Amino acid sequence: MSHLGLWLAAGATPAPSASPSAAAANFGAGIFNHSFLLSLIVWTPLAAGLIMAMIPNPRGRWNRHFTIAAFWTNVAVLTLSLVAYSQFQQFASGLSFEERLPWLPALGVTYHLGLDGISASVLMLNAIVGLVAVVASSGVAVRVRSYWFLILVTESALNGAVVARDLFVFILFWSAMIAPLALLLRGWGGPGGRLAAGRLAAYWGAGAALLLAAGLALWASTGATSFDFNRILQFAPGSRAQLVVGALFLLAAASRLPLIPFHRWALLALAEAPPGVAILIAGSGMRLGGYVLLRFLAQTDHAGALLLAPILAALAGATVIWAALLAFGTSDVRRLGAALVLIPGAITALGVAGLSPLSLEGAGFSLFAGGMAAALMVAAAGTLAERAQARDLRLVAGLAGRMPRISWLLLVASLALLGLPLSATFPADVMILLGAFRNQPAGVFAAVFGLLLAAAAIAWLIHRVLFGAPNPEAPSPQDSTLAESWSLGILVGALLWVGLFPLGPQLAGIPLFDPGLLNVVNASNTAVAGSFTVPAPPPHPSPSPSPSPSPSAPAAPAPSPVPSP
Amino acid sequence: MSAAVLLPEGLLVACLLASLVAYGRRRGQRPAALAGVALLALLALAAELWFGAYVGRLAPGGFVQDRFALFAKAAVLLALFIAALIGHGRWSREPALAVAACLGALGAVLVASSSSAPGIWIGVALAGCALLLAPGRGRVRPVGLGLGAGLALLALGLGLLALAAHSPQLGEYTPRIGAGVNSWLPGAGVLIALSGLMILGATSWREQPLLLPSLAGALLLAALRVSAAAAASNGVWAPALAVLAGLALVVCALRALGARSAVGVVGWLAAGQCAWYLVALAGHYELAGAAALFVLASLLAAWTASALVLDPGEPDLARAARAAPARTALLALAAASLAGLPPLGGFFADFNVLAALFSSGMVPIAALALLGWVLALLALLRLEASLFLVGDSLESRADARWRPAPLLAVLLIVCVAVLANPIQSLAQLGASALGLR
Repeated sequence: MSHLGLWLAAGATPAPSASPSAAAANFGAGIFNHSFLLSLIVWTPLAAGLIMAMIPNPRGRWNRHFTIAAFWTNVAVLTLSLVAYSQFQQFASGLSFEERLPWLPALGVTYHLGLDGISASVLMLNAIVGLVAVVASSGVAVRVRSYWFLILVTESALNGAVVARDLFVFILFWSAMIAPLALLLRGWGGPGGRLAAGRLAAYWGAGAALLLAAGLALWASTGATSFDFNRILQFAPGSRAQLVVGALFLLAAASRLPLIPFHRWALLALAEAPPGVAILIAGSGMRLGGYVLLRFLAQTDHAGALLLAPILAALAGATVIWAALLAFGTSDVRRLGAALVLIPGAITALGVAGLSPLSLEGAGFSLFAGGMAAALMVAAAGTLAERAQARDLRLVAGLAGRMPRISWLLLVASLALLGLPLSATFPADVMILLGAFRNQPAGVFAAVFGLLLAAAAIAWLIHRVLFGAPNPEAPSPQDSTLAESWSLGILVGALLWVGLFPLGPQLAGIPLFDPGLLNVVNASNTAVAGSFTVPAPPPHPSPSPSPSPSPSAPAAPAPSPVPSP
Repeated sequence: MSAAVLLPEGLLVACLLASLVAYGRRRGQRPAALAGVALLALLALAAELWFGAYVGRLAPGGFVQDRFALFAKAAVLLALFIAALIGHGRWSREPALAVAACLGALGAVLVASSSSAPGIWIGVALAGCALLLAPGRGRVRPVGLGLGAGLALLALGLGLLALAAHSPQLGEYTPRIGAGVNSWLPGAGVLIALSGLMILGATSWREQPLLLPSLAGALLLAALRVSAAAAASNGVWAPALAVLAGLALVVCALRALGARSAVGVVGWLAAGQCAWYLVALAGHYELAGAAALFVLASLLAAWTASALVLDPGEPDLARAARAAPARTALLALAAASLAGLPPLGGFFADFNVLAALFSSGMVPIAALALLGWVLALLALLRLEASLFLVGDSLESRADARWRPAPLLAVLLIVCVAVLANPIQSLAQLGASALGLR
């Protein structure tokens, strides 16, 4: 026991961290603040997947056990993520749970992980979406071991990308999820799975290549010394270099979010993927595009962001309109869901294009909210198609009476995608639309118009599929199973919880167990939006002889919707 | 101690002798001798890593033991050990392959240690002669002709360089030629490049996949040795090499994408990594040289493993995957490393090359390399899908067993990625020992 205590005290040397309890002297105290927490979150799924892959499975003897193991692995990751989220030091200026080891010193690469507000919220998103994906995949019966191995590898890569604080580490994880997801689509997807896998690999591969180019260009322009975010995010290369690098970041993000004209992979992939994989792609994978915009384009590339913001806003507005038109034009319920899932990513992009503290905070918040809503939408559409034994909207009609659970879930998913009150997407959309209006009014008008169109499309969908006259020629539908209801219910619960308590539940002003997602996201908003603060209005001329403030004085930060703690 | 640095070479010769012993015995008696080959290869690798740090010039200056030689020899010996580990079964059936592999490794090691043009030629010739031991059915004549013509061209190219510098010693090239443009240099470069293409072109991927890595290793090491020696004049040929290698990289990836057989996919992916190596070579400074060495290390390990695991006589990969899961995992990992899939060694190597290209301003070549990387990724997906996604392929058969030798090889392939930090540091020291700055 004493050896264990010594190891815990000395072995896991905490990196310079904002977490004050990392230096706790008592045994066991602050154990979760030690520097291995994020590595545990990143590598646990991979380790579990590798162990599964090594266990012989003749004639699928252990299939059930593999499913259970994948479930508990995700429960463990969710628990660790909850610990990281609830103990996140939102009032400190630095990173929480920081880990830093030299990796490729000649290139300035470090194995640097850390958690700031945006990372903490997306990490929670990944953990919840991962668990839901596992529950939604419990019915997988073919090549079960391979399926879970690939899912767990993907989850590791998703978590690694979110907590990476070194550009090389980020690119590595960003690229590492392409092959497993493409194989999942190809091996377990629908009839078009092969084509969907090829498209996903091509678009995401091209995005990874662009990100690699952007990262290396940034690295070269900083004197080829470091890939660390702390160095790169503070460095300001020339404006032309910023424009090139910003354009590369934008294209990389647009391929992943996706924004038009890079959206073709998403429609096919989300329509053909098995439900668990679709949830993972829509809920977590696509959000990384918004994460890149927020982390690199807005936080690093100030001049490039200012120049590219109108283009980004135009792409975002056009994507929302196009998604709504696609939803109108399709007769496939899964394709309809896939089209609507483009909306949250475009709203996030609009928030980044707004380049105001409010819109950037909304964009950070919408990564979580939009991810949840998107995952819920593809899951509900996929479950509906599976349970109704048909994807054609001409066949599936009048399901509300026969499939009440799925009907309600589809309704909630639709309303969440539109950003209606009570859902987590509501505060995110409001912040983005209000915050971006000053700088990108055309983009905001386009997005609002697109949302209205999408609302009409959703109303038509709801009316026809849920409350229309049943088609007597359609196969008899069944309501969702317990696992499906649970998986979708978790997403609905998370959406409603964050929508009702964006600042966390409080008792007489004292925060309870949840610090509040908006507070957590806001913790890193100063770093992201610091350069885009609105200058304070000039003070009124004072009759007193006291000297007026100099016009060159630093601009005061814009008021935040969140009360300063 | 200066004589002790020759211990790895001695052990490699012992490997060759042990493989000859296996060749002379009946099939049932071969495994013991082949196990001896594996053990000696491991000892040679350990000895190289232990004694290799002792820098010295031996055999009146004709044999150099420096950090470059240490790195290159360790990479070749690691590949030989992997081959001995997993090629046991095939070597028992065809013992000539074991002899050829040891001879090829000896040739590559000689090239790595040579400080003169004749030494390099002898090393390449030895590695090339390995092809003649197992040329494949009906291919003795074309292999012999191609090899002979290639070696003749290599002799001419190296001879031209020696004439330009008035010395066969590689170390004399830079001081004597200097930075000035010598009209013979482009001709020598073209001849050496043609010789490499001719020698490799004479071989068959389908019939001799096992011997190609060591031969390619010898040729690539020779190219690095010569280009580093004439580094001051590299401006003459480096731009052309960069463009050609960048285009070759894309073409190789496209061919891998279009290949119908797994052998073809792996072969073209490996050829693509050779092109990455040549792209780095065109950088001709320390970071690029280190990147080239990193590519070499990951390439030799992954290519050897995948070439040995792929059996051209077993076209049904899914069936093989069910019967031998460890070998399939090895093939999947090795091919992924050849395609540069993160987080394997190939990705680290390619990333080093890209970093060298960006820091030297060769952005168009980097764009070509990135295009090739994406295409290689797509080609890899096809291969992995045919391995794991046909029927219930990964759900192993009841009689399938995870054998230790392929598992150890898997660990070695993974180690190239896990130990990227020391490997890159060693590669940088190696590039520095070549005089690259």
